[in-house]
Amino acid sequence: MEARYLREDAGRIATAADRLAANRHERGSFLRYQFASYSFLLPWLIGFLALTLGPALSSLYLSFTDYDLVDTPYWVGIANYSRIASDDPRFWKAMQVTFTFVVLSVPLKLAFALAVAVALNKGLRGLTFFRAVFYLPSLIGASVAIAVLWRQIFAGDGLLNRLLASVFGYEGPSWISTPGTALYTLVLLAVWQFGSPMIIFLAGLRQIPQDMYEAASIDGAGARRQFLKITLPLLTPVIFFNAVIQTIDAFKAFTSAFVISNGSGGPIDSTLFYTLYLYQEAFVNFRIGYASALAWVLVVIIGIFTALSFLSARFWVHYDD
Amino acid sequence: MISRRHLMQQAMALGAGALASQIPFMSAQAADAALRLYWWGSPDRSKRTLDVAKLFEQSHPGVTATGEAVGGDYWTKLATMLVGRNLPDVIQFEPTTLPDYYRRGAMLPLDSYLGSAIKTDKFGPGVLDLARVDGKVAGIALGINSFSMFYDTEAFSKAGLAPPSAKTTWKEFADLSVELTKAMGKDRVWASPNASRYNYVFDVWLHQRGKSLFTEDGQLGFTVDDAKEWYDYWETLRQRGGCVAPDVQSLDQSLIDSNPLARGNSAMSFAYSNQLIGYQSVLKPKLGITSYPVTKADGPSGLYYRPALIWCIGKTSKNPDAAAAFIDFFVNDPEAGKILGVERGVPVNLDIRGAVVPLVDEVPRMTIEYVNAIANRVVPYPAPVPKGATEFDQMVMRPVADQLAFGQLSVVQAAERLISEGKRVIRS
Repeated sequence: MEARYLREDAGRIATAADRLAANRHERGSFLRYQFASYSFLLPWLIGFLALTLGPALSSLYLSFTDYDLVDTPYWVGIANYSRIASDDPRFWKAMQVTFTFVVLSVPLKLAFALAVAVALNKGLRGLTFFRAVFYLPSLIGASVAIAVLWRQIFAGDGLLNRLLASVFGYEGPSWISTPGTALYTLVLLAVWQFGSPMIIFLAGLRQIPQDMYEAASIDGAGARRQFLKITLPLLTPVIFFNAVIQTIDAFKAFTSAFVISNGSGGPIDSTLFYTLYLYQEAFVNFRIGYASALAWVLVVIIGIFTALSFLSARFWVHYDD
Repeated sequence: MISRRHLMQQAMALGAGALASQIPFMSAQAADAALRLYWWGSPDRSKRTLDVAKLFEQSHPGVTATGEAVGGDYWTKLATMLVGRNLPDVIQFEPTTLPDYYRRGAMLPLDSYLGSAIKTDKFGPGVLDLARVDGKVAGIALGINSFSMFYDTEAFSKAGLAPPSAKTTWKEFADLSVELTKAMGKDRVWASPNASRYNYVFDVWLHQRGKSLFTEDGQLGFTVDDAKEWYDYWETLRQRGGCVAPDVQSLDQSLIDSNPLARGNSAMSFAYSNQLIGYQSVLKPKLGITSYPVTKADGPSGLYYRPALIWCIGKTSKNPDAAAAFIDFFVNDPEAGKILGVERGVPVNLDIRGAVVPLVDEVPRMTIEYVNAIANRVVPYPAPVPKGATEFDQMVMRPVADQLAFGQLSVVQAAERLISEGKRVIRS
């Protein structure tokens, strides 16, 4: 009897010791595991700290100075920010141009992307081929070459005007250098690059169970009704995702305006994107401090916009699970 | 049999020998100078510059001169190098940016080199003043140019009209432009550009009236009434159909290839004399050259000689003496002069100017003859431009003129805006 208890005790002790040892061993391997993961992260981490976070923090500091790239920065408090708010007509012009661009280009681009995605989802032959073809503008669209091409198309003696003249006998103006139309050529260029939201829409459409459509058509719902009552609601998470990403992208648009207006934002500041204005202040007029303040104002604006979209999401985004 | 140890010894001896033999060579190298040149411009300019650098290296053993043309980011890069105290030894400037950079301490004053390392005895009168800032010579003008108008000779002969001359008044010029536009009768082709957005044409216009774009103490040198007269002239000409439409004019970035004449939208252009070569190289019809219109036939021309481009020595240069020798060679050596021609303006060394004339083609010769022809009509070179002059041109002068031409502002509003916005950006 005694012996049995003893043996049981010994067994219990042994198990506890085992567990302890196992624990210690686990913690060691956990540390080793962490070390491994951080060392794999290291290149990115160094890049992030040295090339993103560091400069971002120093630009935050510089936004409170009068730094001009050459002379020692001198602390000016919130002077840059108060000048943005009260004494800079070009800032408001840039805001107006940028918001017009965002408000026009994002919905148009998403609508276009969705339309093409729905069409491609209809089980078209050669889907892979068309998917690639429609995605192509997004790959090359952000490049300088396409912006140059765009300039040629919409110039006074460009492709569009030759077409208009030969078909309708209409003598068009230079679309890119007329204040009333220049921004719309940039909107068109943005909409044309609908490839990446389209691919995401296409993936979202594939997720919608086919039996829903079957059930709906048995109940007598037409294609239009099916689209409005099944496709759109089930796609709202994807629409939301695309809308947020595209809005942020549109706020950051730069290359097309820079190339098409030769860096001037003209004619008469009609294509003066916020980022282009920021660039001009920093690298043409060398007001680095002021440009840094502009950059932080943009960060806040994009932050507010994203927060608003997330707040609104609970009212219209439908999560299935 | 060669042992491993033996081989090692041999190798080490060899290595040490190689090292030892390099020591004198290396120290000689360190005593000599490696010059870095920094400029912008066409491939043609780069070729000429590097050819002169090669010639300079041959006559100055131990000194190397290398460099490359930098494109659109020229000023951003230069400012970055200035911050990093890593300026090139020899830097190209133009008159608008020179005072600003000099006052920020970017370049070495050259006064102590003048007459010794940089010989100036053959320079034309007043050449040193073209790059003088706050009483110091900040650089050496490489060539001079002046304001000039180019015109398509074929358009005028076809229309049976006499091209403008040195005696053409602004009023005659307006009538001539309207007539020529009608005579050419082509869609989207006009006689004149809309020069209301060119600050340099406005500067000449003001000089003809005894004023200037900026005063000596760095303020705006004109009043609302001057601006009104200026805008009224061009707006009237635009409405009469004598100058290009606003959507054509607003494309112009004050570069040769964005100019209405080069793009085939106008028959004339307001430019700088040395640009005739660039214009003619992109245009088929033969171009003529004359000065800007005047207030009355024998009125003041408003023209002045200006430095086309300027060489300066970077303040942080480790070899300022060699850099000065290079600049001297560039402007005073006859062989270098032959290579350079008039690509950076008409040579400042009068001997070289004389030697270059018979060598160059017809078009460059026309620019030299033009510069010589206006000698009796030029006014003194104005004071250095104030800080913000570039911004005034790009962010005030051009947008305000565009707003007027597109009908967003009246003449009076445009004139008032030019003054109020001008005062904002000009910091004396």
